[in-house]
Amino acid sequence: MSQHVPYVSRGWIGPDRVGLFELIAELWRYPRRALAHRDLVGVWVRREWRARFLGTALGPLWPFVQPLALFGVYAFVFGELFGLRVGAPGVGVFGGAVWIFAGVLVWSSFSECVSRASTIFLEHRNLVLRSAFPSDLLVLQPVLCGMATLFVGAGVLCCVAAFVAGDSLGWSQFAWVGVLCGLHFAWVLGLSLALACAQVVLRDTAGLLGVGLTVWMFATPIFWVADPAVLPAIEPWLGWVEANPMHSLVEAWRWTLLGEGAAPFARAGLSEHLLRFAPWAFGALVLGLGSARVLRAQLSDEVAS
Amino acid sequence: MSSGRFAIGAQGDHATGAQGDRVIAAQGDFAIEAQGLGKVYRRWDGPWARALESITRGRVTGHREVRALAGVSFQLPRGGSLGLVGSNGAGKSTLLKLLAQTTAPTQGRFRTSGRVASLLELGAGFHPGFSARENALQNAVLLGLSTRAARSRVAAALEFAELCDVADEPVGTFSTGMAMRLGFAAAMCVEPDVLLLDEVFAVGDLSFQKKCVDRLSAFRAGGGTMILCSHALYDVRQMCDEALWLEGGAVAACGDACEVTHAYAASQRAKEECQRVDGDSSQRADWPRITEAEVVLSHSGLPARSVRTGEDIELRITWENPDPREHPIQLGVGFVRGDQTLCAAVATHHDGVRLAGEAGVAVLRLPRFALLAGTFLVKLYLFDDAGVFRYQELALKHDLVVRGEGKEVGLVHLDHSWRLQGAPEGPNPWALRAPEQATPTAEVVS
Repeated sequence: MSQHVPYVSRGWIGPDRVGLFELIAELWRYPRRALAHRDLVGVWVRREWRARFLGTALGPLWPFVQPLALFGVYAFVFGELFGLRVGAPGVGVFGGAVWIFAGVLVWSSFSECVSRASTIFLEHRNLVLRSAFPSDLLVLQPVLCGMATLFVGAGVLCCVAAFVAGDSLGWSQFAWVGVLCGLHFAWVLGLSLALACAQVVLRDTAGLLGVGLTVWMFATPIFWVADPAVLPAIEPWLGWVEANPMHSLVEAWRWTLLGEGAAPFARAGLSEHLLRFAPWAFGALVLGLGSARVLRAQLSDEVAS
Repeated sequence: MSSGRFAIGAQGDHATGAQGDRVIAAQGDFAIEAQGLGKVYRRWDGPWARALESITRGRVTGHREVRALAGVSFQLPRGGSLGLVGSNGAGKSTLLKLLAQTTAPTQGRFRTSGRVASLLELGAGFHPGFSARENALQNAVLLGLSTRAARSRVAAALEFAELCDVADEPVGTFSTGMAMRLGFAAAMCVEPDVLLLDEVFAVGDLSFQKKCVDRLSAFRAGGGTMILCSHALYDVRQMCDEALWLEGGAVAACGDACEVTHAYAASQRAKEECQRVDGDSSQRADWPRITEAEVVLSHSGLPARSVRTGEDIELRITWENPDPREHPIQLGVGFVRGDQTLCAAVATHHDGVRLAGEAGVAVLRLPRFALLAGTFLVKLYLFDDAGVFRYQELALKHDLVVRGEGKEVGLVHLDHSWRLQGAPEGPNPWALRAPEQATPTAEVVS
């Protein structure tokens, strides 16, 4: 027998009653469950990661090729064609590309996570209906894969930034990466769980999400600058822009990855962005874990119907 | 047999439970114990009704309830085996899903002892792009093994599945049988204490099915507890000590596997009796139907319930087809022995005959009726044009009794003759060699 026995139930199992305590308890029960099933989660994540490049000639190089190619396109379009200059004068066309690339990395990771997660229960219908395992852990698969994409992209970005920008791009904020990753993970996991549950109940959720993400992306300063000095038309909307949690998240990542390189357009420091973002991350986590807990007992019935 | 509640094995110290059932105070002897288990599914008229109820957390209700299981109680001792039988929709799979914890009960409670593995569907999580080895590993981890333990058992699983040669080939290139073999082997390598099976043990070809059955027997001999849900009553009798017959979500009978399965089979036969030619009222009005059918003797034209082997008989079937353009039909007739063996069958689409028009009488002539003595259910089928979909399946009002006059045994009379030859001359009359000279023969035609 194996040392790790997650499928041994203890005590009576009856109708699921969800009270306030059960909802709150999910805050520590979910991580404990994930830890108990860490091998399963690991297998899922590795499988999802490998499945993306299965049968391709470049295989594991693809995660690096994609961001590099993207960076090249941004450098040409924003640096060369639009003349966007960020950072020290010697950085040239690459400064703007690095700045935009940092924002795109964060957004695309977030967008990929929540889009994939929203359909995860229905996509794995067979497993949910036919296999006894904690279904709510399935959401960790797209979330952790999305985080991995972000880390690979961030690694590429750091290398490129160090290469093209030299001293002007620093590592001084890198110590914050742990806090930022934790908040980012909580935010994405919470939203992903909530959306995955919503999709089971209302199958229009994924479609609505696609539209919503497009609007949200353009409402977040990824390709534009939330600074009235650069973009005067943004002045009346600044309050709304700063209330957007993705704005804080993107800016926090820019600070962390680019250090002073993010400063030209930054209206607030890293700690301020983290403070603004933390309540959103916690709120999303509570919402997601709560939704998953409420739906847990009926999940397979809802998926089947 | 008993009804309503099921208790097998040694009874310990009893107390009265919440549902009024007698329950075991100490779980020690039981692998599974269920008390008043019930499951109600909700059905909504549309997505908005469903969403609204979820959003308002049930304050606005728009669902109707479908009861799949009600008040099922039983206790299964460690090492015991229980077969679940019942017609489609009786609640067998729901009970299995509850015990496997893929869904939660809405009533009652249960508890299990030890590691529970459920084989509700083999290879449910297989990825066609990954190899057999990788999928087996992932499946074993999904069923509860650690990666390390799974890795150490995958080789044995592949060997059991007879897939060592193709272990590193993608599962997508496998046949269905190979994938199911892999699924079974991967699941069994988990070595559970309690195994829940939903008609999945007979996979692959005959020799592999034998291996599966041997493996399950070994599992049971090793003290494993098993619940098997199956329509194959023979399998239930062979694999299980006890059986639970579910009907309409409730326990209809429980007890010794042979007794329960025989009782269930008898009830099924009784149901079929109700669906004979004049008792079938469930047919859709716009579908083709058989309105009358009878066996008649060819020489007299009189209806008959009893015929002799070798007699010329006819089967006259009156049919209606309100919409022959939309529903072109074919007719089939089968003779079924009491043990459900289909002894002979004929069909219009096999013989190139078409049933045209909105009504008619089809006369099936059976000269020198070949079935030997016995009682046969005469089944009638109205197929679609391709002979696949059955618009109607029913039986003659009365079984057909066939009287044999000779001492022939078996199912059918074979048209035959004997040709007798003299023994060849020579030292060894038993030597297998052609006679050098033609010997006198005699022919007897039967």
